[in-house]
Amino acid sequence: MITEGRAGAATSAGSFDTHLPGTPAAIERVADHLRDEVGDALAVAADTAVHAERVTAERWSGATADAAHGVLVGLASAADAVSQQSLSTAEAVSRAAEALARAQADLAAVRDEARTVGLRVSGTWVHLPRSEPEGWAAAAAIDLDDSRLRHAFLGLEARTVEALRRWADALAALDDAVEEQLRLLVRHTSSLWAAQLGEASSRARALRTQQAHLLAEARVHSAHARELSRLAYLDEVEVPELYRRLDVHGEHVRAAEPHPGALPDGPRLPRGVELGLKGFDPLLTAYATYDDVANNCESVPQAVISNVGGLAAGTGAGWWAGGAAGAAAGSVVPGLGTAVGFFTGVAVGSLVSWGIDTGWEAYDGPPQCRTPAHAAGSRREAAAS
Amino acid sequence: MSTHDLSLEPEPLHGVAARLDDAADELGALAGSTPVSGDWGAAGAVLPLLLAAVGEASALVCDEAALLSAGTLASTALMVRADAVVVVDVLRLGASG
Repeated sequence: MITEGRAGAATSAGSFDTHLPGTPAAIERVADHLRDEVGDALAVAADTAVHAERVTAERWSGATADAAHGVLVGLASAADAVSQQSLSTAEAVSRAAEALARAQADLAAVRDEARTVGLRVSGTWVHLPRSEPEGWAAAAAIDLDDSRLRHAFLGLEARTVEALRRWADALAALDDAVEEQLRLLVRHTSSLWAAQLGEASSRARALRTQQAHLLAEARVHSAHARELSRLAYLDEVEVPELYRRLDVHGEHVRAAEPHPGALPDGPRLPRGVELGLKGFDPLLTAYATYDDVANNCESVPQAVISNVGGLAAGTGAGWWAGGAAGAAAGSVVPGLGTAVGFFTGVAVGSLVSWGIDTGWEAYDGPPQCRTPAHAAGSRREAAAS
Repeated sequence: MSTHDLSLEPEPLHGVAARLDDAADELGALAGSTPVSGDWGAAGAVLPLLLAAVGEASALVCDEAALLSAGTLASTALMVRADAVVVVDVLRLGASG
């Protein structure tokens, strides 16, 4: 880069610098990274989201599927847009690398030509005869009789200024491209609610603390659950009778729901989560309980408590995520709050259910299969052996 | 609740969740990586900013894909159980009829 004062005063100073820092290959590596790694990976993610959206639409229906479908469409759109932006910015970075290479080549040519015409070149500096870079003020007094050299010197200085001006233009174009990239990246990703994930994770950690409370309350509920276990084998219970008993147990479940004081003051329970709480989740919990006993060899108290604990914690998480994140994003994307609430609620509920099972089995030992079906299976295995 | 609400084919959705998870893994690895910085010259004033912004955007997409994968798996598992409830009820009604 021309040192301030010297290029402009080259005629009187008798020197100018042709140094231009930077390695075009290093800048090109950035373009390669954006194009071949980030851009490609985002393109794959976009294709995956499009595929997922198609499969979801074809193979899954219902309100939850609609919510998942909507979020997948948003993911596909964002991933594709960010991928396209990465590719176009890679082109801008490549152009900057090429501009730097051209400018450096031009400046090298200036130095070569300076040597050819008889000017003195030291490093990247070009001097009129007898002038010194450090002593240009003194050099101004030198009588320059050689008009040919003086003319060549001025012409090479002008070429140097022009090469540096082109590089400055390329940098300005890169600045513009980066600014546009930043603006579009923010726009394309602002619809994603993954940014809320960090807060949701914090809330999930708090819910793990509540899991300890749930385990303590489980002692109370276990008394009721043992009433169920007196039947010994759940397979003997008719489905309506199981539901009736679980309805009774639901009164106890409500007492085990996350403590309102531990949850942040926030928006109302999202409609989707509310409906899920009233109708869908208890049914899932009922069957999950049945399934754990019948197929996973859990005792009735363990199955009931782990599943209703998961329901309570999942409802709490869904309430929070659906409310807080939904309030932030739901106004922009209708239905998003429901999706956030559902997925977070399900994920945290499953986590807590699993945690209770794990804790229970650590305390009470692994589950023992005692149902008639398992007993028959065991007998068959024994006979076969 | 109707059987239509519970229409679900779990295997394809499990495949979808696995693919989303793989895409999230790949993006997650990229989000934390940058090309080895060299002598970028004057372009060094903007390239780190650009790389950080692209990394941030990739991380957002990555988190979104991972969350959708987990949510799809979890909801699919529970929906399968709910489907089974419907089957149980249908069989019970059929047996009683």
